[in-house]
Amino acid sequence: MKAPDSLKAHPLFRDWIDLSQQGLVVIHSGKAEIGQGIHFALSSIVGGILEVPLDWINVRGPDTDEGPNEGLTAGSLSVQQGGTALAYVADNLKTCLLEAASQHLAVPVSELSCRDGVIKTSDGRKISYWELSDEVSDVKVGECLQSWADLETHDNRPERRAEIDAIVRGNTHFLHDLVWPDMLHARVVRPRNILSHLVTLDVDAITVLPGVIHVEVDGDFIGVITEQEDQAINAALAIQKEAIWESFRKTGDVTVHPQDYIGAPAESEWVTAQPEAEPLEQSWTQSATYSRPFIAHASIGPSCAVAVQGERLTVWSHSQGVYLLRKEIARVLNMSESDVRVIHSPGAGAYGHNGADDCAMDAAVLARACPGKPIRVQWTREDEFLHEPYGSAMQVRLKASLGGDGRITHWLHDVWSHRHSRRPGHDSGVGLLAARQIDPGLPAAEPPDVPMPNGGIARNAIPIYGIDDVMVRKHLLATAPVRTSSLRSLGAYGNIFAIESFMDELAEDAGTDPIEFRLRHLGDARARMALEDVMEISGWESRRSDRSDFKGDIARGTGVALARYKGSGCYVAVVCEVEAGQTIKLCHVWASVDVGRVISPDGVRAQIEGGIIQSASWTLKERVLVEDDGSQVFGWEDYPTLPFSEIPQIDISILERNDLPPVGAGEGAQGPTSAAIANALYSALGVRVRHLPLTPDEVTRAMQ
Amino acid sequence: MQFVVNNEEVTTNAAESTPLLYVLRNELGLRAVKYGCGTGHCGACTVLVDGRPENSCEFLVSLVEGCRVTTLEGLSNVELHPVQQAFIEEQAAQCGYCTTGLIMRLVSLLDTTPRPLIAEVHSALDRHLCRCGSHSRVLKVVDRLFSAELGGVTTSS
Repeated sequence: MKAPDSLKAHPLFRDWIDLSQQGLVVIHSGKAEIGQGIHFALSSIVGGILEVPLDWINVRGPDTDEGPNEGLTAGSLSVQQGGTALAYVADNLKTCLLEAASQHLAVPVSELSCRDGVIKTSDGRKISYWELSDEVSDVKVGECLQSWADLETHDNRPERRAEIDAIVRGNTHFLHDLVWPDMLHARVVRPRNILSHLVTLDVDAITVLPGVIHVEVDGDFIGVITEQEDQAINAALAIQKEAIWESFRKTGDVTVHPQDYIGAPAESEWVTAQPEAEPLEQSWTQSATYSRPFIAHASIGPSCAVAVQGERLTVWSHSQGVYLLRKEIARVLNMSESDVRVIHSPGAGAYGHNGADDCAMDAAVLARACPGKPIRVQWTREDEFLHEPYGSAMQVRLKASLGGDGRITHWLHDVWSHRHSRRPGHDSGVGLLAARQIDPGLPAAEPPDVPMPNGGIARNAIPIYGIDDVMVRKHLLATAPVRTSSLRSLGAYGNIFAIESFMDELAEDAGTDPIEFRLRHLGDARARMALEDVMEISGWESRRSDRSDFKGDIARGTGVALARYKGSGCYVAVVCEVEAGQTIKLCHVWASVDVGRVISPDGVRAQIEGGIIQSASWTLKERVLVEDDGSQVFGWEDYPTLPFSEIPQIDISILERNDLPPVGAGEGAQGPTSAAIANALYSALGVRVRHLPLTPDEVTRAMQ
Repeated sequence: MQFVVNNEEVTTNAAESTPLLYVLRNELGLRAVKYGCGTGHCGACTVLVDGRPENSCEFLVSLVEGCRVTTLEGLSNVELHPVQQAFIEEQAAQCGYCTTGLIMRLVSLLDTTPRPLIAEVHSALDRHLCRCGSHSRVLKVVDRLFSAELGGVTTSS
């Protein structure tokens, strides 16, 4: 098995696993706990291999001063990359510990046994991992690793995440809850549209307010630092009243509605090989256009950060990428990167690039203005809704030719979108809000789209099906009405919604059952297995046959969808059942999932359940309404999500493939869930809704 | 102002218009209660005031004078409250930021409505938002708490 690249930069055992404290195994991971349970999964891997109980293991998250740099916590790669690295380290560490023990105890390794951190001879002599710690910590991690199939990674005890225990007991877990001596509170006040310039603010009127220690005005950036948090809130409200901003002027033509994207100025590029000639219109027998709106991350806890300027600048953030954040902070504040330390501390659930990094930049700017004291910046719900980088709206146009034998012969996928990645630290400029607001404003970064095979705009745009002639083209729109960046699954959500809806439309044109039609085009054995499994657990055939069962004004329908995330990640096949009448009710969801080796069965289940529910919420409810002057969403009242009373029953089947390397489960459900709901809605009502979200209004529009 | 928090008398000099949330978190150090939206939409800040669930982000401290306030920290000493235990058993959280509010809501429901109708469960939980999608596990917590001997959750609404 190939060693991950992160091991080259961090080659020593002590970079990853620290045995210096008796009875404790401290893991240093470059992957952040963002609510997905990754630290439990990593503990399972290390605990299983080293044969120590999981409650002896402590996982430290990303810190630019300590532990490995494993890049971003993103892309459903934390088990695949971080887990593989730690499996490598732990397996080699165990070998190294056994060899050291063999020397001490003068017994060959083959005669040693190992349990709970103690290595024993058959005659009862023993030595512990911790006694051997000094001898192994500076040793370079070896080159070999058994296959995943031979590694013990978990036992059969119930899976209990340490974070859940802490939260339920009221112990400190979140960055939001940390308190430093002398900590001061801060708020940042922004114009509704980030491009508006500050005309004037009467700073003296703010300075005299109770508890105000400093008002920082730098270019278009305004922040206030106070002794107490409620004083910061009051001062921020006063600033909102006092500050005069230039009214926002449109800088050019910006297309704000995704159903109008086709034809808008864009940079176009073939994702598949460029065809010799432009595909001829008459060769297509079917065509349809789909769209998704801007979607907010809307983490339940608005962003928070703490920063202190001492000899160095230290920032605590719930960012998914502490190194990139450090790079941008250092650049903006004209510091050397070595003078900035960024430490990850958990925030509320992160589903991509939300306001965390912006808030950290705010704290850094304010800490520089008020050295020596930890400055805590708390964003409001409105800050988050107005200013977080949204998941991009998209429009997808699909064309296909269906042969007389009911097989697709040609396929053309065109996708229009804004960027799906605008993380901080890009060389082309700055991306964070404060970085763009302070004087002198640095140019905004224009990072390229995420390249294939993972892709950003074109993630999952290449269909999983065996079609002779597949053409895929992406169009990066020239202007955007709001800032966009990565949201769970990036472009895959929109592309899979379109492809899997279109497959249903084609199946109907071919007069074939949608699963049968997919299987006809599917050579990938694991995909076939997932589809056949979901067919079985959902009782597909009998459900389809009674789809015409109307209960009064309510029609019931069942739909299916399938994808392999990124073309290289997990397989997820989903069946949804909906009841549609005046309202649309998602009643039941079945999912069959193949993540290869299953590290944490309950973790996979939780990620798929959560992915299904979040995707159902996006699909049925969510839209960031955008106009020329930006987002129109200020609070939850403007942004309905799926409530508890509408949560479907969910049944998940995990297809264990423990002979294969593990891949992540975090983003696999987003795409298939959306299309399975749309397909179920069609099966219920006979109405094809191609524009998200699938609200009753959108159904009415589709009927017209 | 004087009131009782988790069975202890407390006094605060906070301005009357201060939301209870900030007194609990910053003055009394009870940081299990969370700031979520400040407008009473998400439920992350739920605490019990004289046993009733309230959004502490909107509940002015002047209104709790003489009341008994319970936060998550006051639910248990050594033994966990059955609601807390059920959240652990079901691993009913992902990021866990909404968890405190949900626990307080279900503590109140268990106290006041031991045999709730499904509509009552929904109306209680719909005051809470969760973004990670831990909902189906929270609903399993409800199933576990309102167990057969209590009559369970009644599905007729």
